[in-house]
Amino acid sequence: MKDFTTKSKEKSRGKFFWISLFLFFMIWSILSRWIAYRYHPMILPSPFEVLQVMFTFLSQKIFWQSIGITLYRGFIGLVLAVVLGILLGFFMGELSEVENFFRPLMITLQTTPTVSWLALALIWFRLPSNMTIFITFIAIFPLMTINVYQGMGELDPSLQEMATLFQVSKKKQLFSLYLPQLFPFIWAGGKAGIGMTWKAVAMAELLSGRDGVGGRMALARVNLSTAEVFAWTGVLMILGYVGEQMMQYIGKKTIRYWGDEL
Amino acid sequence: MIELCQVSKSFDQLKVLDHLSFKIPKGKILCILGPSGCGKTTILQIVAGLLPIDEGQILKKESIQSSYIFQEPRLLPWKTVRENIDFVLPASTHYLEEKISFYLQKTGLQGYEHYYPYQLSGGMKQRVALVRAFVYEHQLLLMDEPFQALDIKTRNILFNQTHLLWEETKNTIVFVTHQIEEALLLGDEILVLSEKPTKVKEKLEIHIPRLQRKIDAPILQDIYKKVMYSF
Repeated sequence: MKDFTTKSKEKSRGKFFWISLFLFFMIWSILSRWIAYRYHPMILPSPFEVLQVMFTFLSQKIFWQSIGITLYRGFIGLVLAVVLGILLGFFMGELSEVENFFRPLMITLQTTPTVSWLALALIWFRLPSNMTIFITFIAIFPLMTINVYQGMGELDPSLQEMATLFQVSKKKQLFSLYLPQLFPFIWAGGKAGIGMTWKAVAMAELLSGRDGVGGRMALARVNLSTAEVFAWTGVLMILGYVGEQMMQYIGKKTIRYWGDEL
Repeated sequence: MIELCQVSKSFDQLKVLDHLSFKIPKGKILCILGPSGCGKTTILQIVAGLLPIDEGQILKKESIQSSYIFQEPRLLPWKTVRENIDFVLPASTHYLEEKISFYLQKTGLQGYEHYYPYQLSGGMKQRVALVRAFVYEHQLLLMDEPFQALDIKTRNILFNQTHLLWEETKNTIVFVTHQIEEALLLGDEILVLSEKPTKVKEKLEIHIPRLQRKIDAPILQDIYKKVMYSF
């Protein structure tokens, strides 16, 4: 009985998903028709045009190159932010000197608007790659650090005492005691971070360069090719979705590996 | 083995231990019996060398490695039974294989090596903690109300198992409890403590072999009354 209800619920949820999607495309195409008729066809391309552009992208070398460049920059920025964020968050939780030294800095970093970093980075960096990596890093690093730092505050003191009493080595404690307890915090930070990565990378590329997905978008803007802007947006959304699904998968696997209580 | 001489300890304004003196006899089970919140855990921490003392002396001849059983199992939830035991052991456990499987078998845990703590009952988890404590190389075993959180039946089973395991090792045990029955059945010596600031109210020795002890035997009943009286 229960199975039946959950199944039918899922089914109806699926139905509404498709209806919503269908309506969305319907309204979009009607709107674009009307705007084209009333004002100018350039303002809002129809979904078919956008899909068409996306399909032509697939056979273009420059498309794959751009995605490759953007992926590379996002990946480097993300990995740097995650690794350094874990390290700093860990030491902030472990040593009060480090904590007191870096806390004001972290709060400052977290409250600084990304546009300010963008403006500064445009002055500081000559290569668009460095600038993009920097922007990605600076957007994710404080978030990751604060997440791990919070995780350090949630460590179970009774397990810590047990490990100390049994004189378990620091190295073993790090991998068997700290890391599993910090993992949910690292994972949450990484998940939020990966979602921010593509937005940050594309924004920085749009302002700085001629290459990468953002660079291509800037070019499309200059050429007044709205359909291409839309197509690139779709590509970025797909990247974001794939990234999130990947994190979801990693999280599920790891949590299963570490047992149910996490 | 270890002797505490006139040990005092305060936390802020609160005096917890007041010139407390007692000996931990080697190869025996010393039960520390006292009302809840009388500073029993503090005593254990001092014996373990975790807490500095304000006054007095702790005398010990050699350096002593201690092992522990806590009120809760304190197992790592992301590790299996076997991995939890390995966690407190040196990197290479080759020479300990026999010891580990011996204790796992004694406590009825063989076959559960690859289970995670959440898959085990409360009593089984505490048995894993028991095995962990016994496998760990030690001369002194400190037990802090280890069966408090369990139901009576599980508690009795574990109590007997502890006792049987002790027969194998004959190591020194300090067993902290507020249950008179537990102290009477397990202890070679019983230390009755007062409320805070904690002093030794009474020191009793029981010479009946552990296996022959029954809680309703007349001699134990006498001691029971004595303890109750001083409680």
